[in-house]
Amino acid sequence: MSVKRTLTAATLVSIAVAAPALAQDPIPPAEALEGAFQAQKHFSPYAGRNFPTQVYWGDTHLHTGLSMDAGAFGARLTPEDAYRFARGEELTSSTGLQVKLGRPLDFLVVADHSDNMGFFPRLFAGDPGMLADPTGRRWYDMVQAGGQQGVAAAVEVIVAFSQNQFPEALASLPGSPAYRAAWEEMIDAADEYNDPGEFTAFIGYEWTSNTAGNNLHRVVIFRDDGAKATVVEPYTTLAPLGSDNPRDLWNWMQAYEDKTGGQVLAIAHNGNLSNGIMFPIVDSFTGRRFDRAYAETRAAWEPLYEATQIKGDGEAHPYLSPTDEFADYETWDKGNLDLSVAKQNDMLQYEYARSGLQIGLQLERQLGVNPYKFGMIGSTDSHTGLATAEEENFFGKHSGTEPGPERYKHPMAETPNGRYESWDMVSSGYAAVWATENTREAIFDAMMRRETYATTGSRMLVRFFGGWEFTAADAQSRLPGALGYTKGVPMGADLPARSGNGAPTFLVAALKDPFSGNLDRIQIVKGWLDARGERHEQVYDVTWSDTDRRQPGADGKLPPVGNTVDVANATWTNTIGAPELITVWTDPDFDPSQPAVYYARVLEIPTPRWTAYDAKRYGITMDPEVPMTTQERAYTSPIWYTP
Amino acid sequence: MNEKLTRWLREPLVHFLAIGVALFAVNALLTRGESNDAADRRVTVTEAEVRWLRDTWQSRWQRPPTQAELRGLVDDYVRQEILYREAIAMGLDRDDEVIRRRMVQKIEFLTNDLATQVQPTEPQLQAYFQQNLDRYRIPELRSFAHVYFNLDQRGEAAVADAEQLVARLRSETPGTVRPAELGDRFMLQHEYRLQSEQDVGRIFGQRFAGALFELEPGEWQGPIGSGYGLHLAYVTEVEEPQMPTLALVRGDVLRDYASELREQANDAMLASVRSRYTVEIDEAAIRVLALGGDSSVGDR
Repeated sequence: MSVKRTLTAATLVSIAVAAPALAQDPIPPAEALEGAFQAQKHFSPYAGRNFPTQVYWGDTHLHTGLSMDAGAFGARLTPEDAYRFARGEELTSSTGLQVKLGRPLDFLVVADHSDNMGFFPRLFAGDPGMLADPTGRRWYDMVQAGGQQGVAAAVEVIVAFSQNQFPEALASLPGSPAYRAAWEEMIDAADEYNDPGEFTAFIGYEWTSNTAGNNLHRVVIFRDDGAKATVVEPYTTLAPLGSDNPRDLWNWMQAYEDKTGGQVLAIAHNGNLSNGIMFPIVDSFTGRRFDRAYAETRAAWEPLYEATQIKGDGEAHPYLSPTDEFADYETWDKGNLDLSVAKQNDMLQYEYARSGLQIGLQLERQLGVNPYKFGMIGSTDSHTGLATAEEENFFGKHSGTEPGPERYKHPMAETPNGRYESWDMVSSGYAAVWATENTREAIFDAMMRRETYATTGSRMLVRFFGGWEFTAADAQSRLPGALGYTKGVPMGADLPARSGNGAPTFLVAALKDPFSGNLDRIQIVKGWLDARGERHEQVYDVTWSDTDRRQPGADGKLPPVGNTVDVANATWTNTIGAPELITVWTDPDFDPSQPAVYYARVLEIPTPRWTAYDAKRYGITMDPEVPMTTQERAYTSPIWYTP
Repeated sequence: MNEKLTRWLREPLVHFLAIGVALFAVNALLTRGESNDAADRRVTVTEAEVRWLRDTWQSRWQRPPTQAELRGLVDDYVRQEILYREAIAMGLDRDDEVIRRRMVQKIEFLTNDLATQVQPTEPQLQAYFQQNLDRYRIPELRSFAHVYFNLDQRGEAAVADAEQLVARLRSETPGTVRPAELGDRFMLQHEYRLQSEQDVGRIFGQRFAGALFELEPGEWQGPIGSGYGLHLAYVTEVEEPQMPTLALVRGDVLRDYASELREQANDAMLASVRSRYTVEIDEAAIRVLALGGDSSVGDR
């Protein structure tokens, strides 16, 4: 393994040095490459392709015991443990269970909260300064008592923090030795476990802007190693050292790049808990309309959005998309993060990826730049140190929700304003990245060009290309990937300038996860603006399985694929659905004067949800309101058309 | 693990040093608290204590305390010290979950520190490497090409189609076959270079990986089932398992060694302390009181 790894690393270095521009070069037509065919060792006429041929799977958003709230919930695992687990090693979880991923991940970002990083290690160690504070003393006692008391402490800590009532004497601030130590522990673990060609360990952290309980969190990811990352300490949200305004975070990112020559990006998540300020039209910090600088800066630093995770799926909401029968998937819409303000319907449009993409088109019309031009990824946001999104192997949101017969009915979190049920947790998701190599540089660069997609935990393969010349015959191609790059642009890109009088064409293909359910259908979701600047959306079923018995009805709806799940035994059969779907789709409603954004959504057939595996494993019956099946799905990064 | 080091870690003297420091501190306080000796009922605040109080204040408030504030800190310290000794004397530390955990943590911190301070010598590292060779073994690697048959599209004919093709391919000149153009379209690659069985399992599923690593190289074989459908496979290259030199995997070995040292130090400490105790556990109670236990026994 190590020899192989060493060789790969050496090859990488030489490629990186010799041909940095290679990935940008036009792809030669397939016939031109056939001469490269070598009979003995290589069958493939396309060896040496310079576009991404492989998807790398990862989690960009994982917390360990270094995070203030994770520590409070009882997480004891360290960043080192988290990386070991992600690359496939077996560990003992914080609650003492043996745990191992069904399949290792290719990359991981440990993203502990920047505010009060290392707070819990300090509290555990009984730091005299902390215990001198009455609140600190009380939290210390609660955490030491463990169990439900520990969970109660965690909730208090989070509420105090989001309501800006965190005792000043307790804050773990950048510049202090404790803070430095925690940051360096994260950096060291990432550098130690980063293994170019085999496993990528990114340095990162989460900036947790949560003013009044409204979630504006961002995960910050470094392309660089510790030599650069140690020059800074993470940006926090509390003044005077930090700020809760994303503009200040972007300034910090710019300052980091100026100072070190490094590169960082930021990924927002959980718009569903932001109460209408994730994709706003008006700046929630000033009450004024955005300027062009805001749009330019946000677009530059935030190429991706985390569209699905444990605290709810963020692609679409049934109120916004009433005719989309799949929009109500694992919806979390009670209120903001700490439930201090209940959800109002008029907030929803500013919270979900689908409407956010359309609002981006509107802002682009006003400002000349689209601030919400993001691609999609999924991640767990797990606080256990364990990046699990597999239904049959789900370790929950935090250490208080690790597997056990009782976990589904304990609240995942409870505040004075309401509670989140544990059975509502979503075993989601992962980030899929089309990159040329498994290295920090290649994966980061792919994220910057948005060549990524989100899944709810399943590892299906999805290709999505847009262009003006795809024809139905292209769906018969033996190598749709090669063809897609030759005739069009991949997910995350802009359509090239319009040629001819036709409508845009899309080549879309999906291959099932060999460990999960067959595929139900592929849909293309289009969002656009009319002449008056109003937003519109439409979901098209573009290809589906079981065509012999399934055709759209009079209402234009495709009948459901069916359901083979045996809930009692937590099994299913792949007797419905298809292992692979592919098609070329031309927009039937195209108007060249209207800006539009297109992305693909791929649905699997129903399979058992994590609750079904728990019920079977522990021999329990859950309340009828607890869902027992799920339809795993993927959301690709969009392709944009600008008139 | 290195024999010398193991012996060193198991050395009672080392444990006594580590544990002794913690126990001595508590013990000294205990004895003082319990004694009625006038000298032990004396609370002394020296310059060292005052300096420590001042520094703690300063790190929190970013300025030194005023005289009145420092006086207040000292008064509070004296009050704490007296009440602490009284509480110990009254045995309030016993049966208190919070204090138990805190004491356990302190001892764990001590042993962890011991382990991280050990820098292995070259012979120790070499010995650790030798003893854990299996972990660093480069597994067998195989290069292969395959042809895919889509069961969903071909239905039951897939098996016959695959068998027909494999017969044909065997009669063809190796090197003229282009797997990407045979069978059904496959969106992953048709050819993989030097993959381990685990690598193949991640892409195709364990069943396919296991079968592939049994195949004779240099011949078209199959059909073999996978998570996608059926495949014909041709193994082009086999690289036998290899043993790397320490120099090649030095970073991995150092990392694993340090990690294991930490665990061993904890385990060794627990084992040595535990050996001085007789532990009696009511095994029947565990069976009865656990989930799904025999409810006819006990009061559940």
